[in-house]
Amino acid sequence: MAPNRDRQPRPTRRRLLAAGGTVATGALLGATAPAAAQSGEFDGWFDGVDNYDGVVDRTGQSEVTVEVGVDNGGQPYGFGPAAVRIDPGATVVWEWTGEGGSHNVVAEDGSFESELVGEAGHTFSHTFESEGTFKYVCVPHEALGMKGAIVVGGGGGGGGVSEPNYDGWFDDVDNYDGTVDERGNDEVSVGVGVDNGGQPYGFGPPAVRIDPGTTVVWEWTGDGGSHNVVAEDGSFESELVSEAGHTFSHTFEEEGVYKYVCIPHESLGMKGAIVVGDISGGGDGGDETEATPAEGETGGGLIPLPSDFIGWFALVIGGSLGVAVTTVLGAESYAAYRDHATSEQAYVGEQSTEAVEQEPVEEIGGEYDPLGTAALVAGYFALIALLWVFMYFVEFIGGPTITG
Amino acid sequence: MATEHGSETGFETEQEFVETEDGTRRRLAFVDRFPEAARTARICLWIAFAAFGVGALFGLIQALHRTNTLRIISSADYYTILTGHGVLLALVFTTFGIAGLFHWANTRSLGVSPTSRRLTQGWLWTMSIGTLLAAGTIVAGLFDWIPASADVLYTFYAPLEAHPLFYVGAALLIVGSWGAGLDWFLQYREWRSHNPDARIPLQSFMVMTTMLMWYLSSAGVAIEVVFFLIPWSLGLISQVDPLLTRTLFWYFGHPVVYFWLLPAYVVWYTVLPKLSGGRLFSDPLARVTFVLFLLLSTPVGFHHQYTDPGIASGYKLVAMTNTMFLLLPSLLTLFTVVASMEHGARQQGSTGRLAWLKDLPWERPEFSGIALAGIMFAAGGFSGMINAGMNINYLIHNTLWVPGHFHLTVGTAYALTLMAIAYWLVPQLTGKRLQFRGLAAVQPFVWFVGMVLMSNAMHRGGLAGIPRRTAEPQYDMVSFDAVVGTVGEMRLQIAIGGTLLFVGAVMFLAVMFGTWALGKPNSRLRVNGTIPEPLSGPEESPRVLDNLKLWTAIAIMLVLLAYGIPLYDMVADGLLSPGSVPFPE
Amino acid sequence: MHVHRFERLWFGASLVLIVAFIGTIIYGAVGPGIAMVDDSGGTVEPSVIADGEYEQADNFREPGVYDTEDGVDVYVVARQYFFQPGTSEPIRVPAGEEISFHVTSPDVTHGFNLAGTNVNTMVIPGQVAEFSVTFEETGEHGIVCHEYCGDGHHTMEGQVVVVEQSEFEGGEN
Repeated sequence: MAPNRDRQPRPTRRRLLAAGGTVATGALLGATAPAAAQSGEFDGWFDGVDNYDGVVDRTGQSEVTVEVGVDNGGQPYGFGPAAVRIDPGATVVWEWTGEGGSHNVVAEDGSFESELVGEAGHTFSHTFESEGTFKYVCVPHEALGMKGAIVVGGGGGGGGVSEPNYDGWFDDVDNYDGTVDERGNDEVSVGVGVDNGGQPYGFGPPAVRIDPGTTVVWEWTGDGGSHNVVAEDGSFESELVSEAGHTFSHTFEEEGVYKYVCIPHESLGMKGAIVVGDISGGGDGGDETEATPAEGETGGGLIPLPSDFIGWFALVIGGSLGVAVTTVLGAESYAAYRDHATSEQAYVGEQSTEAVEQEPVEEIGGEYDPLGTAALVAGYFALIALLWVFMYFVEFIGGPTITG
Repeated sequence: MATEHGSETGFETEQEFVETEDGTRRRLAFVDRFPEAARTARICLWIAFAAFGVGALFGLIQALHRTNTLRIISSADYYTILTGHGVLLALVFTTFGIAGLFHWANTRSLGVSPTSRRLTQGWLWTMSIGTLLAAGTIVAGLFDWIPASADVLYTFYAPLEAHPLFYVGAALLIVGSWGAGLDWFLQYREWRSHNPDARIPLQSFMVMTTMLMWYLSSAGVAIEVVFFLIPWSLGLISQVDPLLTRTLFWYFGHPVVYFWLLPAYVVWYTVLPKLSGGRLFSDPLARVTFVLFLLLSTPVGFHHQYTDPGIASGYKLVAMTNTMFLLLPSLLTLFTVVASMEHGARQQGSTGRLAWLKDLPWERPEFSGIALAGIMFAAGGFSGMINAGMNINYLIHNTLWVPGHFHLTVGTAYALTLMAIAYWLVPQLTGKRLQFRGLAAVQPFVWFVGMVLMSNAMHRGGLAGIPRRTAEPQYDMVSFDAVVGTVGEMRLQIAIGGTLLFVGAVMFLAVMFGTWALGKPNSRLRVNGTIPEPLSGPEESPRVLDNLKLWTAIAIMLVLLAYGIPLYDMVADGLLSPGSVPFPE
Repeated sequence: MHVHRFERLWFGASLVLIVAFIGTIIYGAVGPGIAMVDDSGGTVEPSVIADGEYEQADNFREPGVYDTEDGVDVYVVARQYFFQPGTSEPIRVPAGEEISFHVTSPDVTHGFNLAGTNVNTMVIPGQVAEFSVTFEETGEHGIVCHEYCGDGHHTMEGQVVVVEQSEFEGGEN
């Protein structure tokens, strides 16, 4: 029951809330540099959203229209445009196209939510007063990439530092999208088990910049099984836990770059870093940021690796069997090749012929009682009769059933 | 003149024997007795094996994806892979494999070559083009730049819509198989003109009853595809009635499983006794079994629709009763086949009530594969009884139990039997000795172990309520509580089992490829292709058993009884309504 | 026709088994009263449901839970890729009372299965699946769509929450 225990039924929207954790943690929204926002400060949000094509600038307008149910990679499950930048105080009007069945518009952080409607021409509007990035989805079609975001304000911040040099640490981390600046806060939270390229094996946000003396609180979303938080240099290490809501905190006093991983899911790109102080790393960081979206499209790297113990176990068993088979096959082919010219040739004639039929040791004619068969079928009879009774009267009858 | 001249050995004439260099008198192999037929059968088998290889790879990808072991595709693409797995294995691997096997069996037992080369080429090309179209549109779904897809699964229920070429391909595959049937009936007519009074040789009898059942049942899906789905996908009609098209699909969808299974039965009845060293226990009961399948296979399709709304309970009850009586021929087969194996072991000197089991030739893959397939089928038979049980079907309908079941039937009873018989038959069809025999000897056991792991876990997963046909092992709002074992352990078994099955498939293909590439033609083979007379021959059964016209007429009547009124009900409220437009729109 | 006496015996035993199976199934229908989903729910044009014009259908209502004099009726629309109600809010029903479900689809074929129970039906566009269930115990049941319905099929799920009679708010009438 182990992998399933943490999937007890919960009151609805668990998925939404879990993903919302990404947004809630760290209050990262709109905090990164404007340059990053252009290429997507969205924390992997638009991975797999075909109709996302950068942030459309609609600043200067007091009312902005976004269509609901536009073409998204061949299917009518998209917002058009997917990401829009507006001024604080502007109103966004979502307008239903009527394509693709019923849709709704639901903010990840719960700040706005429309009804679920299918009808063309229906509208829903919301006025954005405060700066930030507001991600939203159509709940029924979220899995199909029906996601959008509103960026309010031109973005400021930055603080005059550049990306530290992570030495390729984030190369295989899909949800890495630059370092989120959280300086000025005493306590910063990071989600454990947030979406990372379609799988719940990420830290959100993966890279955070803080002041010395700040406490980082890691908060488990409950998705993706058990996780832990282990510093590369051993300076901090949490327990391995799966339960939602579990937290682990560590206060960083010394300046530096602290890399950490979730050990079970490190190979899946579940990696993070805490940058303490004003450390900059020249131009390298920028290159890495650009490399990330390209990798995101391949969906988890070229060599996919198992995601948990079961996966590894199956892979090891399967792999060793594969090796065994290859060895046998190799030996067999070598033997076959060597024998060919000689022994096999001896059997070749002008036409192919069958082997001579073998005579039975003793001929048994018509009068023969298959006693063994009788015993076997009697056993089979008893077995299926018993199983039937078990299945029908124990497994089936009782419990909620259709009665009319 | 001929040594034996019974109904089962066909024509054996002196010309069939040659004196070989080692001084023995040997019978010519099938390939040199019927070169044309051997070539056709070979082509069919190679296509079947190619489809099997691709389908098995898709199966591995799925098993690892849905257990969250190894993910190389997105969950949306999972369904494309699943459609490919189903169509390639359950339609292409089966239909071509059966065509190859039947072409051999019919020719061998009648001793008559196929009558028209043009007809043979016609059906072979039709089936091949159909396969290419259907498989091509499915695989195109993996590539965004090809504007075609067919992510509709093997059952292709409307209103989910595939590219028209998918339906055209499926239709061609089926129409081609009708041509193959015609080819075999013409062979029979040719044989009958020389043998006006003889009983139909057993293998040919089985081939023909199977094909009659196939004609009767595949008409349903042909009507569905040609009159509804193709015009609808082309936009000629705007809507179709989902319940009606679905019912037509299942009219075909259950008999098709017997179309897969009966070739395995042909092998079990005719070749397995010989491989065990004995003779078939009873020819009359074998004929009775096939007649029962012809009669009862089709009027049972509603048992796939037990949980469908829109179909009155009475029709479901009729289908349930018919289905239960369909157990009879399979239970009879169990006895006859096991008794024939026991006869073989006893002829080789085995004693003891059950000790003979271990004296069977388990080291020979052609035997062990078929025997293991039979054991698996006995287990699959039980889960099929639950499926058939109308109200108890609620417990497992559309859960993982169902794929657990059919991986034992089509996935082992048919598939492993075909692989095993290939070890025996391909040398006869090519004149080449089997290569990599060590690999071949292990292969059936690898498949068996893999299937035991995967299938038991799937059955138990179904009881825990885990659905079939889903890309994800876990749901947020649903908990699956295992009755026996744990869900994690089931996932592990499915992942390992699926991997082993893939390894088994690769081993089989390696043996076939090795035989084709390395074997020398015109060899003195290690196998013997004669099939001994049954212990109890056809002369002990009434001639009416051979009256195929009569049985066909009764089968049609039973179908009309089971389907006439329900279909009328569905059509009465409008042929195309309540109707659905295609999705995605 | 010559048939070995063992085979005659086995033939008889097989028939006994088959008749016993049929007997058990009929007992299940007559004794505990397990009924099959059938055509009692009637038909409805899928476009009517898709357009939300429920008043046009005499055998279907706006999706929701209704507490009427005859008992509790639950109208569910299963569509790509959610149950309405069921997905964004759970279907709340009282324990110990017969609940009539009416389920249909405006788009493609779906499934409606309370995982691990015998509540299991297909949802076919054009047909209303109508069936009654009595939940003896309170608790939560996950709803799984068990028929492939498109790329997002694996995200289609919902929940039925069975509450005490006293906690049941009654829904609409």
